[in-house]
Amino acid sequence: MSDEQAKLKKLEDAGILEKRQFAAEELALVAKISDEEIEVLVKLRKRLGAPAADKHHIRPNIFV
Amino acid sequence: MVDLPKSPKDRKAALNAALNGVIRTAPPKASTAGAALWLKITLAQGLLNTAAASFWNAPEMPRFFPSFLVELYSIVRCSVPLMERALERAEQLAPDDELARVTAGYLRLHIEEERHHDEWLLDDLVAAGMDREAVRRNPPSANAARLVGAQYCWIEHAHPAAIFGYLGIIEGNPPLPQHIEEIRRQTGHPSDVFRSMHLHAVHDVDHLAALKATIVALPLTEANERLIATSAFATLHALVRILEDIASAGEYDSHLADAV
Repeated sequence: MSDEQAKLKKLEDAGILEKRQFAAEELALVAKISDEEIEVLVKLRKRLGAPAADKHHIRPNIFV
Repeated sequence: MVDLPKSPKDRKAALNAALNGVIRTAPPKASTAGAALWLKITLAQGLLNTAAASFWNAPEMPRFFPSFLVELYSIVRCSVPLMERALERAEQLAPDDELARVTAGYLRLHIEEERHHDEWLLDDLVAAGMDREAVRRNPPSANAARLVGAQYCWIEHAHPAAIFGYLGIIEGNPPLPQHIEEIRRQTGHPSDVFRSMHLHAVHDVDHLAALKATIVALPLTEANERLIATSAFATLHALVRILEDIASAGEYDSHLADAV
């Protein structure tokens, strides 16, 4: 498995990235995300839990 | 000060002029580093959406909504001064630094887009029954200071372009009219309380497009790209903590008591 594929799998398994929401050229950039950055995202996903289904209109509303 | 025209076409022309050609009618091709940075910001935004969904769907939301508005004011009042400091630093570095030049060009315009938003929000807080001067006297919360203070650290001691990480997260999800209406219905507040949110729902879509176009075309070194990503992740962490703390406090914190 290539570095890119391994990182992609890790992000998908953690529920951080859904392949269908990204173009192929964007997915290719996953290789540019460092292991440390992936860890930060995975840890936060674990803390926050799974994304809420059917709540795509919910926005943070913290704006400046 | 840059006067922003009302029409989208004229605004785009003003943006181009203010950026001194950084974003042209045909934008420069995204750099790989810039596009990778935007991907990281997008993934972080997804996590913020999860935190936001928990926040807005909590049964107690109507009770802690006023605290959210006060905390939002805490952040918004800091944002223009923060960007002004980043602009000053970027202008100092600009003669020898292309990234600083682009940063300065973007901020010069965006500061004017964001100016007086704190006053809009104060109007909404008054409509929610709060005292304008009491809210103004209330110092920014520790959470707001953590969020904004981190940016000052990077602006002073690293590179002012770090602020793109902050802006990428904080501007990344403009409110939607449908959601604002849901909140209004659940909280029972009059529509005047939501004027600022509605204005952001209209204008922030343009802001986000301009921000993305700028970020993906940034002339980044590997170190600068990492710095901006770190800034984005730190902003994400700080915002999640803010949402969690407001929700867990349930009602106004003691330090907010004199603001209502």
